[in-house]
Amino acid sequence: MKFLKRPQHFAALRRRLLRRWLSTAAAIALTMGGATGAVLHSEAAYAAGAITFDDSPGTSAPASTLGPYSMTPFSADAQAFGTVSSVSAPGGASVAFAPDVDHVQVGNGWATWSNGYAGDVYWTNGATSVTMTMPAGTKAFYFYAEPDPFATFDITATTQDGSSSGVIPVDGFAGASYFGFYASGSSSLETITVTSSVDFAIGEFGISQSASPQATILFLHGVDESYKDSLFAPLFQHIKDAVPGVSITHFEYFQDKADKAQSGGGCDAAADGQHAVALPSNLAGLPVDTSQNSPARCDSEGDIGQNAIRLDREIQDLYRQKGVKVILVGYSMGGETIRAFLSYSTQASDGVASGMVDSVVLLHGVEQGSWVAAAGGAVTSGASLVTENPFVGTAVSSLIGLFAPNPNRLATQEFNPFGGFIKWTDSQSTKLPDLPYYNTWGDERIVIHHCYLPFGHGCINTDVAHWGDMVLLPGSDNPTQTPLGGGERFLPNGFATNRWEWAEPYQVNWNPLTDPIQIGALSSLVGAPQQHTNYPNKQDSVTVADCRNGESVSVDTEIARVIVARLQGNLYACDLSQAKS
Amino acid sequence: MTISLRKGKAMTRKLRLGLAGAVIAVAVSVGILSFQQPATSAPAPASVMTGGFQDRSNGAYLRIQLDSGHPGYGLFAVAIPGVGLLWPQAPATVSPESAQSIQIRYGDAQGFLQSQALLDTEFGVNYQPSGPVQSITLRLVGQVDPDHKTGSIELWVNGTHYHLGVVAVPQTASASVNAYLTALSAGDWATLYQISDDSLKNSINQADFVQQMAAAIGDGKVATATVNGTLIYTTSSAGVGYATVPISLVVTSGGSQSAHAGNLTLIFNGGQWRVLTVDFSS
Repeated sequence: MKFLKRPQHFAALRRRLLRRWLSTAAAIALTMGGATGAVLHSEAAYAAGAITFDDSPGTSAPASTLGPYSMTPFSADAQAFGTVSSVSAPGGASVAFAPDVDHVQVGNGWATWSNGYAGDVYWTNGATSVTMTMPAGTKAFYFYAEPDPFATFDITATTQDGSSSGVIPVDGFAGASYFGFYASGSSSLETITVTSSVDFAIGEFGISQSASPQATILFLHGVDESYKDSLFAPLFQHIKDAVPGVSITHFEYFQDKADKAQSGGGCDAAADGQHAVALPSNLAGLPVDTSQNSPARCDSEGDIGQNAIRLDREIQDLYRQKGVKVILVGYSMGGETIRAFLSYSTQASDGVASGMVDSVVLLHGVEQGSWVAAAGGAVTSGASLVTENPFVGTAVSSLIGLFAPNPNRLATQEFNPFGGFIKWTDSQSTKLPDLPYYNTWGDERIVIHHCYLPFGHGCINTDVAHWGDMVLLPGSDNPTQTPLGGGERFLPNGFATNRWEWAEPYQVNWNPLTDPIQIGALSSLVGAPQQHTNYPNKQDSVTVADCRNGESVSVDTEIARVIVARLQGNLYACDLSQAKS
Repeated sequence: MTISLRKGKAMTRKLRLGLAGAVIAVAVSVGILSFQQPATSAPAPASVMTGGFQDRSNGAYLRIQLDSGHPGYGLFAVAIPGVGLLWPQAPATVSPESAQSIQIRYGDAQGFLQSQALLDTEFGVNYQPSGPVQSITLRLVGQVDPDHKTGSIELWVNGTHYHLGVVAVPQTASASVNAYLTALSAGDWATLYQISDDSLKNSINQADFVQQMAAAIGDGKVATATVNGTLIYTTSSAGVGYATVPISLVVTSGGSQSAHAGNLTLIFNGGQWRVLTVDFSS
């Protein structure tokens, strides 16, 4: 029936099917005669200049990403079947063909394809080469190609700068193969020329274009760091590569460490971070402590309450300047500052959290406080407790020095899981704005290897210690809870396609007989890239399960994909079947 | 069941067991994720915790810095089930009387108590820092034997008296060794579970353990299991008692036999010798 509606194509299909059957017969004859060898499909991805080729899907369905880019498949082509010179791309621009091609469809003018695809394809109409001209700003593009004859023929794709797929053998019988190119840095794809020794069809297109970013990024560093520090460099490089026009702002805290004077010691009074935060008339319950506003300090250990207000205002400024919402990315203290801002903005009903924030990404954020801060003296005995608690020894003392360098400063005291600041922030998190939330947490464990049988069989690993990322214990996903040991987990209302949490596992086998007081085990945990203070510079060594398909991927790549999708106005839609609590 | 004739029967059996082991590893890994009560610990570096002992009646333990060259010389911590973790505001006075007796004395003076800390009564090293730390009045008098990891202390917390004492590790592990060998030979995994240590039982229930062990050995069987040496008793620097003994196993599977040698390690846990692990060298 389908063919009867398109008589002009029925005849063409019949001709082409006949032609393909003849080709198949010839190919079979050649194969039986030993003239055709086995064809190996290359899965290598290699770079040529600033453009990289990737054919890893082969004949399988296209991946949702190509390199660092989230890909958008083309919609069904509304053009009539027959000769066309272009096809509309997502976003309104178009891909042009030269020479013109014949618009057909798998099963309706074209006999076979691969991976179950049954949509539009474009036959070269007898030609052995076609050039596709990309829309401006194309960062990544993939297509499938299949020879017309029912046999294997080589196909090559080449971009405008000579980057090539190399020779890819493609089976003409249901063997349509994937060709993907992506550009990095400031370069983009302009043309792709596809050639073969026979005529062929191309189709099943996907594209990623660098439109103006749909959001801007505001990054908040941790305690005792400077907003000028280079932290999470691979993550931000991935993002810049994928979205060259992206704006990444580094939040300058009140009393930021970057405010140190260039000479003579002390703080630069002119630095923006040295200007006290003007408190609003309605603090909406947010705990604010101005007792350490003077004398001047520049150590990034100031009051988180004032910094939450400062963050609220900076988001407003960015929103007005850029005209787009803000993606908040916070590490360590940055996480707690974001959480405090969310609670404050929600309670104050100022519309900033709910109307100017695109999404929230927390990287080992202080969600429910840190036991280190509690041990670090923010209790009755003051600073001396750090050194006087004999359980806090050399292995962790370095963490204390980095994370809670001065237990008398407000930031450290506000990391205390049973202090008033954390308790207020978490208790006010019952009505968090409905935003995409993403969180990563270190899952370091000490385990014992119990074995009962030879060959290492009958062995059972048992956990004896869950350390989180050492500075932060795992804690609870529920943002309204405040476990007494603190925590770094954060997943309000559970997993969703736009709400995810990645555990970053690391475990060390402990032998209590040879390492009775865990010196070796703890040293291993302290050195792990998941450990809190290592994380900003070793994030690319940490792997997580991709929230879309469970595949192992470095966490900087995964988080970059999430953020890039937001910047492109898309959603990196996580698959709930991959959720593990 | 033969997997590959080319690889010979022994190798075939090994491969099959390997697959079963992998299944167990995956299953246990998943199980860990739902572990009821994550036990988080704070570290105990050797430079700080060079001395101490464990009271084997209830798992309470003392840890103390006895390195006179260490700035923390005399600092200590005491873990008492039902009370919490205690430590002083300043070092104790340490008076070596002999190589086997060091007197320690503290207070009455300020100390600290974390009553909600989750203590590790098996290994004497882990604890979960939890809950507020409160100031207390602390007094401690006692002696420790660093060589034998024994000692005796009297402790007063806000005037309430506690006693921690220990004798040398009882040299009674042979019964548990025999129980292990018997259970292995009989494929009695339920008994093996029962004589295992607390850290295992806190992570897996008996039914799952039995199922996983049965899957691991498959159609194999431990034909003989014998002691192949002398029991050696040690006390770790954490004050925990261990016993190790060489053992030999003969395993039959798929019509073939293989001999294996290993070291069985037991831990004195909860007043009994319990199986911790076996390190098979072949």
